[in-house]
Amino acid sequence: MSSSPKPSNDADAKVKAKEQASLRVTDDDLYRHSSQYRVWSFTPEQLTQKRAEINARATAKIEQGLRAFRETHPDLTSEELAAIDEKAVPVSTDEELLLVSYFARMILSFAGKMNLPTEVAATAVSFFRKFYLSNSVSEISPKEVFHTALFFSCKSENYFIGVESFAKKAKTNPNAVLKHEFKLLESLSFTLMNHHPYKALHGFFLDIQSVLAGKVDMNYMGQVYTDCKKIITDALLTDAVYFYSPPQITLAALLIADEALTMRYLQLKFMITEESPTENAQGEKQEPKEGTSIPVPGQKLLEVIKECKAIISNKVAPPKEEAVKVTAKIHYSQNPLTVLDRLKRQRESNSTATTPGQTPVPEENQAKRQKSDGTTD
Amino acid sequence: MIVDDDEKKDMCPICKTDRYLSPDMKFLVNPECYHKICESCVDRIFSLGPAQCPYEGCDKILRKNKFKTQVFDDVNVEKEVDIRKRVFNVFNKTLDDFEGDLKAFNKYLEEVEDIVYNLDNGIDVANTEEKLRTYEDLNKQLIMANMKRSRQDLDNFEQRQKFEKEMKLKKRQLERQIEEEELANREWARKEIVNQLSTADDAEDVIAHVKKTVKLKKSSARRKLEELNKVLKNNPYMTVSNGLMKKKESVPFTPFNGDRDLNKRYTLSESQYNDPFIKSLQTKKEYIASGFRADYVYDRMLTEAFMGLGCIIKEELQTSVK
Amino acid sequence: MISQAEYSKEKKVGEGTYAVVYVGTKQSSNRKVAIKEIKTSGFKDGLDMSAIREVKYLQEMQHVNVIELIDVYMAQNNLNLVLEFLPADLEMIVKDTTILFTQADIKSWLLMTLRGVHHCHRNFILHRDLKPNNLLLAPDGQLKLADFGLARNMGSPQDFLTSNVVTRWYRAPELLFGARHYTGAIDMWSVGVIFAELMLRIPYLPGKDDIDQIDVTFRALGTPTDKDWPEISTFGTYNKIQFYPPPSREELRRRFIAATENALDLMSGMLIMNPHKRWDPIKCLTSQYFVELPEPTAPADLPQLNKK
Repeated sequence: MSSSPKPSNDADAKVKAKEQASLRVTDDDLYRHSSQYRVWSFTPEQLTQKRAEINARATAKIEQGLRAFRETHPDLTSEELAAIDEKAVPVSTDEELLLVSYFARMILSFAGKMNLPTEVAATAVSFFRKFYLSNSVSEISPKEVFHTALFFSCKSENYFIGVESFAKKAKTNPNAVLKHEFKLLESLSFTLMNHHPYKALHGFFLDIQSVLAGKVDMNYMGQVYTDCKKIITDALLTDAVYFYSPPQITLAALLIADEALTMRYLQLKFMITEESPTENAQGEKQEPKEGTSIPVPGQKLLEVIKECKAIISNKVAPPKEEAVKVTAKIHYSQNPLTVLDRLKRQRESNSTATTPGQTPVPEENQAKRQKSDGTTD
Repeated sequence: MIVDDDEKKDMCPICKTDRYLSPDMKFLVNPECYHKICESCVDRIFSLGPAQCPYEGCDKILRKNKFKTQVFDDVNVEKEVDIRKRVFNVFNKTLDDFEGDLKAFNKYLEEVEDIVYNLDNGIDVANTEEKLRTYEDLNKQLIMANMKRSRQDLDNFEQRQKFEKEMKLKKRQLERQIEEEELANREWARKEIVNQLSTADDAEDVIAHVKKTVKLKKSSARRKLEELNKVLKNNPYMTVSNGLMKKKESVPFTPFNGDRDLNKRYTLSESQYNDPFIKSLQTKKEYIASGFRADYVYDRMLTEAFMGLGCIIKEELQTSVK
Repeated sequence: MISQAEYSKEKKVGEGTYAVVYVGTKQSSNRKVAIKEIKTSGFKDGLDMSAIREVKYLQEMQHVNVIELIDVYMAQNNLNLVLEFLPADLEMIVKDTTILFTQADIKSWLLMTLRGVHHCHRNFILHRDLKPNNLLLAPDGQLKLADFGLARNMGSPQDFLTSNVVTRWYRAPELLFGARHYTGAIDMWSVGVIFAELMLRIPYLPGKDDIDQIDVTFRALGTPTDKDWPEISTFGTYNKIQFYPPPSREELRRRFIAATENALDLMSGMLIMNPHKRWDPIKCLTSQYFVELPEPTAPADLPQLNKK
């Protein structure tokens, strides 16, 4: 696989065209040069399509495997066939997404336990989620990439930990940590820079003090800052990171943390008037305050921030049981034999009350059973 | 005094290494005293810093980085060339600077020669050096401009020569072509007249007609030659007056070439920020000693706060399908 | 494997501890490129940090004075960076005694260097290994910052940075003292030393080892005191070093014979001991030196390496 994000990306071509029109490179242009914008920004439609394509690719592969299984096992009973049809089903796009979100959250708590800096954790989450924008959870298990993403993030964020001691802390082995490192780098299109909104938050923390000088209590500002930091961390688990720039995400987070304060700041800063959305057209004509000479169309900015806020607020942590269910599904769809196994055990224990979605048997045992099954056949 | 004995010419007087035995050996001299020392001795003696010249009776303190390869066999020539180079780099006026006043220019040249002579022969060295330095300080701008000009003059001269050479060559080629064409035309006309006369009655008509055709025929090479002569007359390199090329239409100097945001969305106002964290770092000794600057940190955070604020991704990506 | 077929490796031109460099061609455009093949085996901690840094930072920068990363691809488990082919570097030019260059040429190279550094700093990236050897020259005369194997983000202020960066002769005094919270000022020091080297045509502060570097630096530029550099005595090694007086302006003039007053101002600004006061790229680029005559030579007219 190749990545040539610079010359081939259309967004980039646009940047170049813009540069030719005017030589000046503004800070916005600088963001447009970043890989986060060039490679990792999408419209919701683009993102949906990307995920659908990956899921379709993985589904096709699994269905092929299931067909082959049926062909090599012509003497299956109708009960067994029915069990396979019910259990061994490829995961859907939504289920993939759920599992990725679940593990992304785990990375955060894990990084917390390891006392890693916020930015390292944030980058690990970013790496991990991007990995599943070109791989399916049924191709490479999140469990295998989880540590790799964190370890690689440590290196990329200049927080180097030797692989031995990392593996020890993570209770895994160095080979497992390094196994998918190249694959990860490749899936990231060889782009490693992340502009997390934490620094933007720090900046707004300062600018609010200056714009609302004398009108805001410092201790309270500190509280808003702390709350907002948490909200930003949550936002990193959402698709907002692909749809909005870091300042926009930060303002959305600030809006969640304290709407009144943030609105007052925005009003003074960008001449936004919330009460009269009908005046949109006139609002845009207004000149922004001195010192903010690049006009950001205030009303449009507010719309964008509010959209972003909706995405961040909608975030719900997927429950563990759901994640376990999806994991089991992946397992069954890839190893239909284990479905039969399960059926056999169910019959033996003669229990009709087994709840569906039971925890799958640990993989080690599965492998052994598979082998013995093969010989009895 | 350096021994000019042939046998000792190729021997380092310090370590007695002979060039015959080690052909890679290189001699260096230091313009302080011009005593010849081999490279490895220079390395050995001066690596640790300035040291006295190892020649007996020479009390000059020499620095390693001032050693240079000796170009001329005779050190006296070497020395004079060095002095000339140094002096003429400073006194680099040309006749143009005297607006063509040959007398004034000659007077100036004589003065310069005096300086060279004094320095070369150790006459009144301190004062002469002072004179040189003073002149340099007072005329820095002019010296620089002249340095530039002499380089440009040379470029210009070379370019002009090249251009003229090319044009002359082309001219010769065209002239030869014209000559050949004329020859061929005459031959053609001769044959044509004979041919046509055998069928026609009026000899004069025939001759006039053929001559007219020939006239039309030969003009293409001639036209080219005329063109070329015109170019030579308007030679762009000839318009130069006083050997000075007219300065190119100058574009104002842009230090950043556009790589700077002059319309920041914020104004840095350090006094208004109550940032306990940064303020605490400002008091830490190791931060102060490392060059920590709160204003840089503030500026950076504020830049990140607004960098990309105006990028409405949805709209910007819509116009181009990824 | 599109990229692998797209680029041909023609000739090995260099080998370092972590990479082999080839000259090659981009097939579709016939463009000459340099391919840096990162060795990936034999590193127990996985992909090497230098490779990570180089890829990470070069992907973000687009500037005429920063080397262009054209593409990246994996082949046979090796990481390949396809870079702009740049046949010469500033060190080669300085060392080649057959090449003459003028004050205007020096100004042009310095201008391009500063613009490149400014772009890095604008992106909050520290280069941390500026030296003539890493300032590459394109056939059209443009100078480009290269080798980002030691680069890093200007991180959060509380980060601890390693002081073991920058090639010795170009290492800023705070690094010599082992500072852990340094700033972009370390890159500016390197540029100052390079500027001096361009004018002298020999390395300006050639220390033989890390201890000697401290001595050489302060012998040339004077030992700083607590007065011009507050809290300098916080550094453990400071109290063990020898005291040298700073050079007078006259001494500098004598050493840098062809330098104008503005040139000396700029050089001294970049070589201010106290990193807090050292000139930053903006101050340097807007200095009088670049406005006074002679104008910087146009890149295309700069001296080139003589073809062998």
